Amino acid sequence: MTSGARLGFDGRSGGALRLTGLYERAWPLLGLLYATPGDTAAASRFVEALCKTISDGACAVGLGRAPEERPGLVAFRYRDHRSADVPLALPVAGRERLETLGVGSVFELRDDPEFATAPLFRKLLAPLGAEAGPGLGMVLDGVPGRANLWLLVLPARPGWRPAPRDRELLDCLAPHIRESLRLHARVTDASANARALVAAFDHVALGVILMDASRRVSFANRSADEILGVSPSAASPARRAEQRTEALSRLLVDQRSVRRGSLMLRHPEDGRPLQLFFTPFEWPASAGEAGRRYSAALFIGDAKRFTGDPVDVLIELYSLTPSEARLALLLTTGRSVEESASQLGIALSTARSVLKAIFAKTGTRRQADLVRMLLIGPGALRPDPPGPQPRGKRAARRRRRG
Amino acid sequence: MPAGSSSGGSVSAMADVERRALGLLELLHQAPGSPPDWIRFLEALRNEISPDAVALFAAQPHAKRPGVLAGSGLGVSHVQLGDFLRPSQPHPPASRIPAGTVLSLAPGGPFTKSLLFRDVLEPTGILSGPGFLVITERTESLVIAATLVLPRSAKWRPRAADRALLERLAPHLVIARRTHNRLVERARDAEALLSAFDRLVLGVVFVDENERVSFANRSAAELLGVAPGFTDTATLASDLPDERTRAWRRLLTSNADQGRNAISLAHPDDGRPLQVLATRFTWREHEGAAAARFGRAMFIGDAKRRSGDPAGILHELYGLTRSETRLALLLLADRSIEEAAESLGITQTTARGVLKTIFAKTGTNRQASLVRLLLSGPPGQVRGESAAPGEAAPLAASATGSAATRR
Repeated sequence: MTSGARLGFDGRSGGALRLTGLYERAWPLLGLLYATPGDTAAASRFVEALCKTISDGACAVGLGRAPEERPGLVAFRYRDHRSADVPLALPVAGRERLETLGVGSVFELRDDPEFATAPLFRKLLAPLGAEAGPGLGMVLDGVPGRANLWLLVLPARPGWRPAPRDRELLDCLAPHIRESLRLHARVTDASANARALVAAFDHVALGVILMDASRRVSFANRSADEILGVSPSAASPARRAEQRTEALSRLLVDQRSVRRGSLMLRHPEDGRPLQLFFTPFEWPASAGEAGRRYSAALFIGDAKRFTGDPVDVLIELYSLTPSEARLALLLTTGRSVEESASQLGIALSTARSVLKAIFAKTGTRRQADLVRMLLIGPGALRPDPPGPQPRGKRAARRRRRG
Repeated sequence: MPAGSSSGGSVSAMADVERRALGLLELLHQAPGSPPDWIRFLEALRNEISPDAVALFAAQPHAKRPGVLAGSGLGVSHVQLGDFLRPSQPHPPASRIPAGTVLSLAPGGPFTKSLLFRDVLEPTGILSGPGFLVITERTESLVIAATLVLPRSAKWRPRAADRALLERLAPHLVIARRTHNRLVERARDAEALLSAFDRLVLGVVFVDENERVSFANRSAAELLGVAPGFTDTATLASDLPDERTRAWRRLLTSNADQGRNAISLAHPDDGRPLQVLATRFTWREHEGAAAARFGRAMFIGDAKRRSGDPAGILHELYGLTRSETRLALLLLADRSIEEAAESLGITQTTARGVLKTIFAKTGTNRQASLVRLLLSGPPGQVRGESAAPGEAAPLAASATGSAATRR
């Protein structure tokens, strides 16, 4: 009572004896394939095992379009990446066109002497240790009509040729590779949401801490780390979490009972006042583990802490001149016009006329108005960019250029 | 719905098992996190074994996670029975029956006494054995989830080939469960952060590489007149801009100068001034999909928006009375002292007197420094009403495909 075709099993493979050999080869690979979707190390272990299963003398190379709409292709094997702006010209056997093959399609690469001189082979595949062909390929990713990632199985030494059983193996793996890529996308999608939120929180001037039921810190944004005195770069993530928890318990040393609501505290080091606001999360019963890891949020305001230098933001927002922006900032830190004038070394009358210009440009009428205006937007954000992210920064610069 | 076609007389029993295992694998790995797919797998497994058997998945309540029961012909339900897999004695340790073990269940064995069988399965007419139990998730000392095949009627008796099929699938059952747990955990991380974001007075909008809105928090959503949350990838990829994107573009049309990182603009409805500050996300090279969905974050300051004062925070922090709090909040929300007095229905003299007390209680001496004090911390920046995590249905639906831990 097998319903193989209904279950997606391709009847083409036919005979049971052939299938038995196929099963023995495919099954361990499927274990590797599904084990850790989203983990690149696991993916390269899979490709390695695939090579060994196919036969000695073959090597598997990944080939993809370069990301972010740049022209060119990227080829990779293990951790070795090469990229070059070369045309996508593979000697695909038969009448199939590489660009339009669907995800999971398996194709054959002819033994084509001309391919050995093609830029794609010379610049990308040969440096990774592949011979020009013959071989096999499979479409790993893409949208209908435009594939963008391929797996190529090529000779690692002259003379290797793909056997029918190699093609059979790839045909058998194809639907599973599709499925594991879908899983991979779901896992990375789910973490991208969280990471985008984390990145945005690092721009907020308010300190934000999420903690578990025992007041261990499960998340702290950049401002909270600064208030707690935890260095973002120094330690491992686990150590940093410990440091945060220790610092928070020092801060709350006399506040064991607070679970909800707000309180004023003095910072243990310099005694500056901090405003704290606790709010418990109300998870639905089905949340389980999450309800323990994220049992409450704590928001910390630090009125004395100057979050950076938003002069540029004010100039951009309201076309203030630099001297107007400086005066506006002094006023928002709580100084009077008189104090600000003497700090800037200008006459009180000059300060008053500068203030008039600021009022006009920002559409405000009073000093309190102005302070509110500046604090509600620019003041709620940190003007300094988040800490060093060398790789990410490079990508961002490129995006901006492109 | 068995196909009823035998694979042919010459096929050896082992080859048939392997072929059936391969056929089930794809369905199994589609399953993590999505109950309809999960049921499809269990039904296919049942079809491979016998129409007189039932294939079940059961996870017992663990670490506040509720129990789940899914089965061919039974649907998916939450079960709140305590330790429903435990047959009155401690579970054997992981060293004896690790995850992935296939156990035979004899009729009248310890499983018959389990809460799962007695209270849930027996009433539906399912028999306690003979059958199989595959340990699908466990800790050192506790079995947390199992996949079971049980007789629906005495007509079915397990065969060696059925056991062989389950033994082949067992490691994949464990892997799929682990993947499911990972998906749920990631989605919960995002939900916790999301609900903290929804407490901010500041509006936050994420836009994708095509300047479509991929996320709006509660404050931003209210400003735009749309629902808060994440926009799923399918909506972002469609040709027509979605509602959030249309509202966002309408907000920006009044402003020609969109390339800048900071712009002030007028709300299209009432002309109130808004401040928009943009910052770019930085993603690593291999995170192309994330970079496409989350290109820039836009923070929107709305000076006219009423401020927070969550849970009477001004009273708790500074001992302000109710009328002092009302005046302070009006001053924070862009009213002059004259306007505030009028909307509170008190005289200006009274209002000035109240303001003096506020100054004294908060340690400030001018309206500007009061505004600064209150706006730079939670009173001005955290919203009053809370939003429970898990209310954010759009996120859960897109990220986990709606996990089994949801309805």
